[in-house]
Amino acid sequence: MSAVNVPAPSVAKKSLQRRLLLGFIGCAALLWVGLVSWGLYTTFTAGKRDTAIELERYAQQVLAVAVELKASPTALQRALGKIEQVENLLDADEVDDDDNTQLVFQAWVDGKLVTTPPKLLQANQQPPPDAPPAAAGFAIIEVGQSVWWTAVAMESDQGVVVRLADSSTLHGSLGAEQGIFFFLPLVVSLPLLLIPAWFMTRFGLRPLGAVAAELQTRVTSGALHPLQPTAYRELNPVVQATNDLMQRLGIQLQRERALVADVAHQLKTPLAIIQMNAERLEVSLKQATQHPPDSMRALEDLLAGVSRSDRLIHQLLRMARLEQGATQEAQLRQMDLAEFTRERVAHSEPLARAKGLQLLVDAPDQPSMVVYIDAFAAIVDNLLDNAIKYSQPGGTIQIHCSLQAQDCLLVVTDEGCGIASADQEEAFTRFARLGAEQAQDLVPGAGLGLSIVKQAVQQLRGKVQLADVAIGQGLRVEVRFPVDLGSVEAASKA
Amino acid sequence: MNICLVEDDLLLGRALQAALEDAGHQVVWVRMASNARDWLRNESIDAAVLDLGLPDGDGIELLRSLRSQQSSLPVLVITAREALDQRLLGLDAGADDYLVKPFATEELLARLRAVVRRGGNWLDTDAKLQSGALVLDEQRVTVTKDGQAVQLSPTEFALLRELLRHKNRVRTRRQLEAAAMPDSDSQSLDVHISNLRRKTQRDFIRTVRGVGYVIEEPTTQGL
Repeated sequence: MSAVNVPAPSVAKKSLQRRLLLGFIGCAALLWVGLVSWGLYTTFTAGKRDTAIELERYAQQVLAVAVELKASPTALQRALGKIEQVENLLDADEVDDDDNTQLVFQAWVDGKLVTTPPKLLQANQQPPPDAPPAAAGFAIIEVGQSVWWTAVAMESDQGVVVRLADSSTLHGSLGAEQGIFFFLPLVVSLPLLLIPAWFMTRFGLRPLGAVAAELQTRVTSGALHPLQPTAYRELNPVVQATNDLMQRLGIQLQRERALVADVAHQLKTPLAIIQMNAERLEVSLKQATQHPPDSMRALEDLLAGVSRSDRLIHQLLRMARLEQGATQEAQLRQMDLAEFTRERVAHSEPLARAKGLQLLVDAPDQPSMVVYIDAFAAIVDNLLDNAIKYSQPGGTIQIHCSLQAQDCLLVVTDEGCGIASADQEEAFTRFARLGAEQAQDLVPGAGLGLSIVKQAVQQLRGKVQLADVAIGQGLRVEVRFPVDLGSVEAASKA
Repeated sequence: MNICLVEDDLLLGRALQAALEDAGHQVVWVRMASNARDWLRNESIDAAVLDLGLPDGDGIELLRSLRSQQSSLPVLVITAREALDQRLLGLDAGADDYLVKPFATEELLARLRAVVRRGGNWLDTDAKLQSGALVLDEQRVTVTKDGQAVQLSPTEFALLRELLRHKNRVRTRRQLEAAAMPDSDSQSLDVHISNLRRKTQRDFIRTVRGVGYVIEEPTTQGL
């Protein structure tokens, strides 16, 4: 695979869930502020209206008293002073801690002020003006810094005018206490709201996670079949686009594999031509009494080159087929893996014999099971091939295949040079050739064997492990994969 | 033998023709499926070597039409394909054996002999299987060692024939059982082999532990 610049996952620092939650908090706060403002506004206007009505009614009552007492300004003055005093005392009780509230009573008889100037409770307060008001009704008047809510009642026939002035600041402004009263619930309840909101967004985002998980299985398995269609409108474009992309990739991959397979197949005919002619030359050279020195050696090398190319082509085809097998279900077969292992060993035995190697197979009979046959054959063949290649003449290779619980265990142990633990990871990469340096010089090969094994093991959903028998004393390769004892039909449905 | 070689590639055809002629066969080489159709029906042809990839038609199709005409002509298929399924496809279509390119000339000749022998219509001294001093005559069902008759039971004969047919190739126990003793258990295989060894030569049949048995050509020096 080519190196593609994949952004590291750590780059994704933003969270969709956090985004949703922040949006939620923002909306809740905005709504709250709106509601509170509206509430305050209505409280203010309603309060003003109530106050006006109350003051006006009061002013009518006081006017009635003033009309009765207009003959005696002194009595009127005293009476109103009394009412004012009582009212202010009551008021002070009512609005327990608000000292600002003060009622001022003023009365005019025939345009002349008969009441005494009020005793103001606050130093910086300005009294209402002494001039008689022109019109009856409610008014807000400002004297310097002071604001008075006033109600005027008049009996024009009698020449009596009465004014009540209220200095309460409650009517005009919002205190810190009211602020706390309105905003405290927001501050307290938002965190409480956040907990259900967190669960809600998490629940809401779950389909996204499901799609991501399904995509992840494609990443790990390398399969390109389309994702499940989603029922969610918002996710659908993502799923659709991904499926389109995977389909395009699949077609492209298919073409490339077909090309590799085609080229590999095409190379076989020229190789056959080379081999057959080399063998004819060999025969005639052997029959000739005289031939140039080294010509036999050259022929041997020629044939060795052919067999190496053949092996490389064989491995390329095998790899192409395995990659194809990852997307196709065609290679499932039901068989006895032990007998199949024995057959593959029998197939490789001539190579081992030529090198004077002894093969020991320990594969007890097993019930037949369903397996991707190409993948399993690729594993056995390549492990054996490697073991034979890297063994010294006269060595022994042990092959073990057995069923353990739900797993098939395949172990190939040789007495070759082994692979140092530090290099074992790299041994599975394509075209990696490791092992003792001397062995590298002796052993021809492209280094595809273990990477094919790895790929085949992945297809079988198994694991492969390398272990040194002892340093430099050989290699033990252990492959373990789950097997299905059912039928092919059942397995291909799964 | 008269062999019909169906091969479109000029160089490979030439090499095959030469190899077959060197081995003492008469070769009719055709390069097109259409020409091959006529030749394969010719009575004088004893066997065919058929390349599956032909320019004017698939070799498999050629084989199918040949078999549909009830021809029992022994056919050895040469193919670049090697997937298990494709091999089976070739055999189902009526190939007697297949050979994957590239191949050793010796292998080609041996396989060709084998398919002709199995075809049964080639009565010749070639119908004898041999290894060293041991000769097995399939027609007369006799075995001789240095010219002297060796008495074998039918099972032992079948085992020896199976091993000699696949000389230098390890046969698994199950393959031997299937070929020679379909009804017996695997314990008796060892008994039969040990009897065979006693009657022929001690180290004639080699055991591959855990796999099966093999008869090796004494002169063979590996690859």
